[in-house]
Amino acid sequence: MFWNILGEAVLVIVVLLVVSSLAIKIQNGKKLQ
Amino acid sequence: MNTSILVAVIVYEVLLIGGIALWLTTRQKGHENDEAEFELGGRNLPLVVIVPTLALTVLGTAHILGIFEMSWFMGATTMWFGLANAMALAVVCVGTGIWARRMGMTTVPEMLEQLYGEKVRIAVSCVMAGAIFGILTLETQGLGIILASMTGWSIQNGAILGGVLGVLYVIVAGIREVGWINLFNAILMYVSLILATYYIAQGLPNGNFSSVVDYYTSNDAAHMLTIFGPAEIMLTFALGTVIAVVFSVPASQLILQVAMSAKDEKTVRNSLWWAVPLNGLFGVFIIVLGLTAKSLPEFHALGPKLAAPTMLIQMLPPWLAVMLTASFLAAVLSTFAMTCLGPATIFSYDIYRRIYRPDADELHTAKVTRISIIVLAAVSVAVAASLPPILAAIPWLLSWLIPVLWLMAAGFLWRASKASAALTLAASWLVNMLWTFTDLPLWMGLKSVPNAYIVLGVTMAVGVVSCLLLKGEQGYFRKARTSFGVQEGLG
Repeated sequence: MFWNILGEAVLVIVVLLVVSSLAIKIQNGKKLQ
Repeated sequence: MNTSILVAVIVYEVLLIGGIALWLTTRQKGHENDEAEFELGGRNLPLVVIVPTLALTVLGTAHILGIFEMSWFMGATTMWFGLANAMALAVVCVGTGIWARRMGMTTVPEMLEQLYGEKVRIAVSCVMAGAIFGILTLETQGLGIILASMTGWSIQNGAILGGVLGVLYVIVAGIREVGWINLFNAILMYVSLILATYYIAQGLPNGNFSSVVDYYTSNDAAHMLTIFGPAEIMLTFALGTVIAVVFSVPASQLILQVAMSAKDEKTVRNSLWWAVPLNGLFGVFIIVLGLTAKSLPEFHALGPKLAAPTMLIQMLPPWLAVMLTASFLAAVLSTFAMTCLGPATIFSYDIYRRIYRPDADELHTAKVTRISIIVLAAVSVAVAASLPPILAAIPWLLSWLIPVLWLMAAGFLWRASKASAALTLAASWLVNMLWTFTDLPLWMGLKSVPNAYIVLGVTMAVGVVSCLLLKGEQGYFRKARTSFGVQEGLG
């Protein structure tokens, strides 16, 4: 049970971090322009 | 009742707070008059302090007592409350926190004055300080309940002791003190949570959580063991919480004050990788402990509020019970300290210094902030015990901040129109009041629709349309980019 819930939460957080890092990349790209 | 645990917890908190306050006082001698030293740590706080402070500022009573109680009814889907806060932190680290740090301001209303003028600053100051004070009363209740459950005292006495500890957490060296204490408490929190989960599992039949899984599957409640629960709960509770938190918390003084204190923008951006998991994963442990308590008959009988705390005190070795209780108390104290510091800073900078004493220096302003912290804490302690459980008021309180986030996003990235700002604030705040205090939801047949949905809808509709139709200027960063481009072209 613990590992299942932890795994699901980690999955959501990884997706969140990937989306956030894409947002940072887009911001940096705009700055360079 | 549990006197030795209580004494040990209080000794730990006092030693940690006292030690760090003493260390900082000696280290900071001669820097007291640096710009916003008390409120923003001289805008020079490092990553190791910013990360735990971002994570712990939005991790308080609701994460502990609230999740214990909610997981009893909704199971692991309650995790979305914790994830919503982690999402809000991500928005801070890639958006609002960066803007706040770049502007070099001290408060959110001060930032808004740059975009929309003085009237918007004062209106947002009053409303934001009020909304954060509402959250402060919840944290004070939480402190009262945690200490009362350990001592058998009344919630009032627990709130008084908690209030004193909470004020000590911030009063000596301001946000720098909060930050360094948070660093130690965040480490204690995760070590004790991991150990507590391990020890509880060892105390169960088979030495793991299989008996808990059996309990829920045999009671036709296997859906409580996944964070992706029934569609109905996902659409109401999960989505509702995510919207309420993600569209309000990133605009709050409470969290942006931390970002403003970072030594540079890079520190805020890099905090993303640590603060988001640190905050987001906390709920996993609380939910697992809550679900376990419900599955054990001797604790099930105690009901949703008491089952998990009682299980922890009874099943864990005393040293671990002390560590865990100290870390729970620290989580609430850190939020209490920031919910005092946030509105106190708004008062001293946006009201006192902006309107009455523009010539006040840093030392004088810090003194006003300190007095405001004590007054806010005293009032919240005085009212906390007489208020009904106010967890339900949180979505209403957060909804006040939704139009503020819109004003920040529009004003920085798109268009800044003073008339549109005034209209959007007025319309969304009015709807929030009507939705709560009149039968409007009933008349419209939308009784179960939470405030956050409605306020977000009104904010977006009024904000976008009025921004398009009314006179305004180019967004702050667009303007800055254009003028930079022009300068570059000229050069």
